[in-house]
Amino acid sequence: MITAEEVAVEVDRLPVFPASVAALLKRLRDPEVTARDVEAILRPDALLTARVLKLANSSYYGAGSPVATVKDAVVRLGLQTLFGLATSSGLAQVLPKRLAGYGIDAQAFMGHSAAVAVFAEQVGRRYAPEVEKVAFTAGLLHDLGKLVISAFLDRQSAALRVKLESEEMALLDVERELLGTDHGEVGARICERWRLPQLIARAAAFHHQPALAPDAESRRLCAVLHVADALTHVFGFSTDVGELQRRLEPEVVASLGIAPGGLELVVAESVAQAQAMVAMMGGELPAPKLAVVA
Amino acid sequence: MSAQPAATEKRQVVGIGELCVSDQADTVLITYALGSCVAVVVHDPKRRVGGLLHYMLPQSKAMPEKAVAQPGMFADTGVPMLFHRLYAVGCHKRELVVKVVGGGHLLGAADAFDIGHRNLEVLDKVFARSGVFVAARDVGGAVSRTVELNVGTGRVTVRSHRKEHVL
Ligand SMILES: [Fe+2]
Ligand SMILES: [Fe+2]
Repeated sequence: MITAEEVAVEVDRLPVFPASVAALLKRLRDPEVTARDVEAILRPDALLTARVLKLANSSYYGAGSPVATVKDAVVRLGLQTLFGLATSSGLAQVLPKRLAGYGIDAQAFMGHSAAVAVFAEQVGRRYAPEVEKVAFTAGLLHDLGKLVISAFLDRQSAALRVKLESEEMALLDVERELLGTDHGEVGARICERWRLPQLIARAAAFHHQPALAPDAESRRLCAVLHVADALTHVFGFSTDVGELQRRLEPEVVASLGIAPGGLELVVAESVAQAQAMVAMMGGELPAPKLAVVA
Repeated sequence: MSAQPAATEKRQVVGIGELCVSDQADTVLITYALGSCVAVVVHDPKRRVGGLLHYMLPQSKAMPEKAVAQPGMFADTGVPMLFHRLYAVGCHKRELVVKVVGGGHLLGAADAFDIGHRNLEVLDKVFARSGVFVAARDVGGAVSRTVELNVGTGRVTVRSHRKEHVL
C-alpha cells in the first residue's frame, strides 16, 4: 500500500510537462481558437515547435512542400492534428526510459498511447461524434498514471506476478490491491499537477471505469477510450506485463450503441493508420520481453 | 530451453494481417503479440517448408475491398491463401502439420465482442469444410502470445510474458 503523500512526492518529481502544451490544451475545446493563436502559444517554446514541425513534415502526412511554421501546419493539417502533435511532442519530453513495473520501455508506452489515440478518434467518429475532436489527444494522455505507478509496482514485482498468474485478476485491480490506488487515479493527479484540462484529467481517471466519471461528457469520452484501449490490447498494440488481463465492460460497449461486428469494421479500417501513427510518434511495439524458463 | 536463435538463423517477421511461406530451412518465421488474433502455423516435414498466417478478424463479408487489398487480415480469405501458397510449392494437404495459436480475450468481454472466440470459431468451420486436421493448439485465455516456427525442424515455440513452451 502506498499513501497519498508518497504518490504526491512522485508526481512532483516527474519532469514538468511543457507549459506551452499545457497552455495549448486549455484551448482544446475552444471553437474560437485560430492558427495564429496556436502559433502564438507555441512560439516561445522553440524545442517543442521544432518537434511539432518535424512531425508535421513526416511522411505520415504525405509528400508536398514542407511546412515552415506552426501556422502553416495548422492550415494544412487542421487544429485537432496540431493539438495531437503538440501533445505527443510534450509527452516524448517527459517519458522515462523505462516503465519497469509494466515491463515496457518508453517506446512501447508511446506506441500504445498513439494507437489508443487513433482508435479513440475512429470509435468517436462512428459512435460518439460529440467527443470525436478531443478523443485523439485524450487517448495520448490516458495512461499517464503509469509514469508514477510503474516504480511502485516494480518494487512489488514478485507479488504482481503471483496475482496476475494465479488469480486472473485485471491489472488495474492488482494495482489497487497491492498499492491501494491505480494508474487512473494517479493519472488524474498528474494532470492536475501539470494544469491540464479537467476533461483530460477525468479521461485519465476513469478510462477503465467510465461509469464512474462524474459528468456526461467525460463519461462519453471515457467510454470511447475504454473501447479503444481494449482494441489496442487485443490487436497487439500493447505488450505490457498484464497481457490481456484487463476488463472490457460490456455495458460500456452497449452504451455507445456498438453492434456486434461494429468493432471489427473499426479495426479493419484503422489498424494500418494506427501502425503508421505509432511509427511517426516514435513508438514501437517490440516483442514481449522473454520470460526466463528454467 | 533457450530463447536465443542460433547464429545462422534468419528471422522473418510476419506482421499483423500478413502471411509468409518459406522453404529456407535456416529460417524462423515469427509473429508477435497475437492477442485476439490467430496464427495458423503449418509445416511440411518432408519438404521442410513452413507457412505462417497472422489474421485479425474472422470474416471479410462486410469488408470486401479490405479482403482484396489484404487477404491475410481475415480467416476466411487468409487461410485459403496460405494453403494455396503451400500447394504452389509442392505441399500436399495430408502431409502438413497444422498448429493454431492465439485467439485470446479480455476479461469479461461480452460474447458479441469476443473477437478471439469468433476468430477460432470461423477457423474451425474453414478447417472442417476443407478437411484440415489440427495437430496442436494453444488458444484462448487472457494471454497475448508470440509464436515462432523453425522452418527446418518444424519446431513451434509459443511465448508470453510469463512462460515459454514448445507446441
Ligand atoms: Fe489504462
Ligand atoms: Fe491503456
